Amino acid sequence: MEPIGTPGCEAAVREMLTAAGLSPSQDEIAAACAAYPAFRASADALYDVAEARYADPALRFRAADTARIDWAS
Amino acid sequence: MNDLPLTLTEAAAALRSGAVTSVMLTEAAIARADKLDGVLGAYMARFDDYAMAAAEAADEELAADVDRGPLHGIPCGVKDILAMAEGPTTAQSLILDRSWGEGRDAPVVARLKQAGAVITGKSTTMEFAIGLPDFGKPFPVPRNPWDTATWPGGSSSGSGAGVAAGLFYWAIGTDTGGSIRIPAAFCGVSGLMPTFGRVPKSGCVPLGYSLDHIGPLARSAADCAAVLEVIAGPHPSDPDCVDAPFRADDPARDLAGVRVGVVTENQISAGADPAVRPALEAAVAVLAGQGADVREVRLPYWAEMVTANIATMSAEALAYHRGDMCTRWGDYFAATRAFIAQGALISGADYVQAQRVRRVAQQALGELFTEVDLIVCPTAQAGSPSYDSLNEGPGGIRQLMELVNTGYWDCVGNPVLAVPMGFTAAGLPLSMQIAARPFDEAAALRAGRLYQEHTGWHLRQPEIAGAEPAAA
Repeated sequence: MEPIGTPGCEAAVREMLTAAGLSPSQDEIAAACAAYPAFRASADALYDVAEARYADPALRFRAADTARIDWAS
Repeated sequence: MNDLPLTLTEAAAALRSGAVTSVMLTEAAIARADKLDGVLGAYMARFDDYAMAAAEAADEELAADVDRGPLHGIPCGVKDILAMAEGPTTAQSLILDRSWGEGRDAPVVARLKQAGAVITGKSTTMEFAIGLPDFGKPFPVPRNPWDTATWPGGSSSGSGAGVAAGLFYWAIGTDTGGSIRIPAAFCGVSGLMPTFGRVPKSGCVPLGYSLDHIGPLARSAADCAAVLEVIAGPHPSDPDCVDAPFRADDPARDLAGVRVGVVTENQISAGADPAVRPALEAAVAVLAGQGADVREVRLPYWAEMVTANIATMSAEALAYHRGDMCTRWGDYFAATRAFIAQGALISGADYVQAQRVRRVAQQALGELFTEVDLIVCPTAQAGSPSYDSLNEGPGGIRQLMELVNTGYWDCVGNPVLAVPMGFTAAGLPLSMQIAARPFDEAAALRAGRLYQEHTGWHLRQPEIAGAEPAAA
């Protein structure tokens, strides 16, 4: 990843959006690029939480969850 | 409803005393909607005939001593991201297939019908429960009854505006980053985000699977309690929903012995409206006057939870929307697509890390809740913003995120009640959040009820609601 706020960073943002199949306008890409450095920094800061080093994520998966009733049925 | 009861609980009592009928309440609600909704944009769809039939049925049942509880015969609204058999669910979007949930009731809606509630229609939302209006799209633009040049908050915009303006007594909203509490705050009404897992969210168009909450907006805390009692409880279609008891009845007359933590750090920034701090101090004084033991506390992992809320919501939403966003980008509202596209800018590892830090924060908050019983803080740092001041694109979303103090609580899943606590100098409502331990909504609602018994903020009505309904 290029340093944030650089042309390389802009290219990375554009590439990530394109890779996801999204087709924002130039203005929207510019806005996403402008916001990205702070967004990236805040996401990176999640890895700085020492207490999370051995934390189990708050994800759900239940092996026995095979008979869930469809709400619309 | 000028000569009619103002709150749900008052209306329920008046129905049983014979002072009013459900038909009277519903006719007044319809007349109010006829007069005001062209300006307020609170309804996505109205079910006038269905509502009148439900009202007539309620009157007949009550006359025959068939009492379905406090919602029986009371007009309400349902946010248009919950399925309801009487009409298509749009999520206020061109995208959602109108056949989704067609002819079906979400479990929450089914419970409301079983309780005899008179559902008057589907209330407006921000598209897919996120973002801001897109004035170029063919949907109503919801407006704040306190100042129609301002946003009523979102995403449960029509639910908040409708309660404030008297279009209905209460409404169902959803909350993923603040979408019940923000419109409650900006519209000067009460709103309850129940504990995650308290209310089944199946039959509701998802925004963030691990963050979505369904709950009530109403005039008072007591009204919210009455609604929660009906909609809470497990459902086999929602594995997150647990069987935990909740009863609206609460005999407590004071807050003696209740430890209340007050948070101002990160809640009242340099840019906050100057009325927020004194309003919070006054509200806390009311709680102390009821016997509460008040102390200053700080919320652990505040910044991390704000990030985790955005990262989790955008990633989970992109998983749901990516197929449509790839092919119909321009059909989404500008703010919706800008927010959800952020999900493409984080990695799978980022997402999992956010869930690990959520666990850490949840545990740290649990430790804080061994020292206090309730936590209070402002819901928003200002009154409702004007539409002129809001950027419809990604800048607008960031602007809003800095204005509100709500997303933290969606991440940790605790129940939070938002109650009116005053006004800005411009006459726009301010609001206080009252948070409690998981599945202890009763504690937050008790404090809210006692606070409202000693203040009148929740009974204030915007000028627009004081106008007489148009002649039939």
